[in-house]
Amino acid sequence: MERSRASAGSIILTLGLGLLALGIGLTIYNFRKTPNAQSYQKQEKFLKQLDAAEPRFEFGYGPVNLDLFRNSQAKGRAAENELLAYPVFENEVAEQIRKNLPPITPDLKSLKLADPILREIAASARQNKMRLRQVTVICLIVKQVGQGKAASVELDVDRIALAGAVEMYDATFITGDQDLGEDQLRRYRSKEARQTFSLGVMDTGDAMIVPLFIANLFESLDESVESRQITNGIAFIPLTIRYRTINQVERQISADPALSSPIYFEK
Amino acid sequence: MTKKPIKSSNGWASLGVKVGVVAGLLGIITSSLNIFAALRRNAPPKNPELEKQVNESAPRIDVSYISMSSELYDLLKQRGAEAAKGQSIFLAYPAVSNEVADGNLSFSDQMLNTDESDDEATEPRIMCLVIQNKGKREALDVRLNVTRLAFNTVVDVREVAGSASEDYESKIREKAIGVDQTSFTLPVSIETGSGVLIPLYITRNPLLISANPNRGWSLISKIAYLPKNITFNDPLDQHPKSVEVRKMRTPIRLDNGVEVRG
Repeated sequence: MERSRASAGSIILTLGLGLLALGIGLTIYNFRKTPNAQSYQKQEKFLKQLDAAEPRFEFGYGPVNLDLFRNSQAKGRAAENELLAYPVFENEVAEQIRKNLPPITPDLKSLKLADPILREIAASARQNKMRLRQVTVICLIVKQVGQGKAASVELDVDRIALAGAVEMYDATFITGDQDLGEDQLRRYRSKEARQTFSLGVMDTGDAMIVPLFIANLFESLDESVESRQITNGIAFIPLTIRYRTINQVERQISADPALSSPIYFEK
Repeated sequence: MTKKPIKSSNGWASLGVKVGVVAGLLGIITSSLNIFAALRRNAPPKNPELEKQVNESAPRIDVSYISMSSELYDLLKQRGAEAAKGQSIFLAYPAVSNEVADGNLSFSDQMLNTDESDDEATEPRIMCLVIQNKGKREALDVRLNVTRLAFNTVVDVREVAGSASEDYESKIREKAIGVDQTSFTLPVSIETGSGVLIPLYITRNPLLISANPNRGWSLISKIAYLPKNITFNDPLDQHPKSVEVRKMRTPIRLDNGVEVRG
């Protein structure tokens, strides 16, 4: 009898201490899990700052290897390399590349020439002494890197219809003095008109690849003439980006500074 | 004589019951209060939109690899990150100095199996890891953990276009004479839309417009870093985050797009 009372006492003691331990454990757990008021205040303050945050744009300009361009065109955000994993803006150049119509690489033998410097390589082509070395798509990459969202993003461009093929020594030859051969596109244009590409809403990290023109590099098989990079058909010269902030303030920035520092994107 | 110990035992038993009952009651009360508090906390948040916005605006670390001509790398260093800001994507990022980029740590050309013909002409290039923050909050205390490998010879890697190629990482690890683990803590936090370039190793590659589609390359630096993961903190949530760094796929080659005019 006495023994059973003693064992009942120890059971009650163990059970009671167990319940107390559970209570203490739950208190510690709850204390660690409960978000504190300071954390909520920080979050609210940050989101208020975000409401007033401005968009900010960066540009990447230069020749993109045709394979890389096609990969971005086909896969967009899932493209192989993150630096070009962005959607391609659909314009006449993008459509030409997708359909190969007119052909991405023109027939050098019968190509209408606007730039007289190309007569030599055309003559060499007619003697089957030229070969295609590489094809690039000169693109402007517009990237929104600010904390704020940009609405109604628009890129103003000059649409140039070339009178024939011109030499494009490098991608910097789209601005500057026409007489010095620095602006090959306007120098040999047959038509020029202003166009606007609507890029839509761009949030932080969003970007768009805008194809501007195609360049084909031809080289001599016997080194009798110099290698020449040519452009023909349609070309776009980027001018300004216009957008609205979340507070409906309209802003615009010039694309011009980017055009003087092209970068090759190669595989 | 025999009753005394029984009385003592009864006393202990009764004390045990009392303590047990009090402890049990306290335990039941605290547990009930905590369960009640937890149930209230687990109820839908007062402002789910706020939580959604906080989650959506968290720092988002993204990595990619760039093979950069030494000419372009030097240009970026000379120009400085500030001067390049706004001019061109990722070229505004500062390059983090380390032993790969700063020292004379590459093997001399005499050790390379170069061919003098035009198509096989090669050039030195710097392989960089690009770390970008695509989120709306800055990433704090960013640390890159890498495997640091040392070499006493050039390592040739053969990559064949359109078919199975050598696994560059296995090849590099196989030829290393020293391996250790190290990490870089970035000197600055990475703000929204910003990033950093981290030189990993120096290579020798065929020239940009090589007609040969089967491009091999050689690792020519005496030290190479193979990135493993990146850890960082979110200013609104001090729990450290970690992002695994994937192996390199075909990296984009970046070159100065202005032709050298002779």
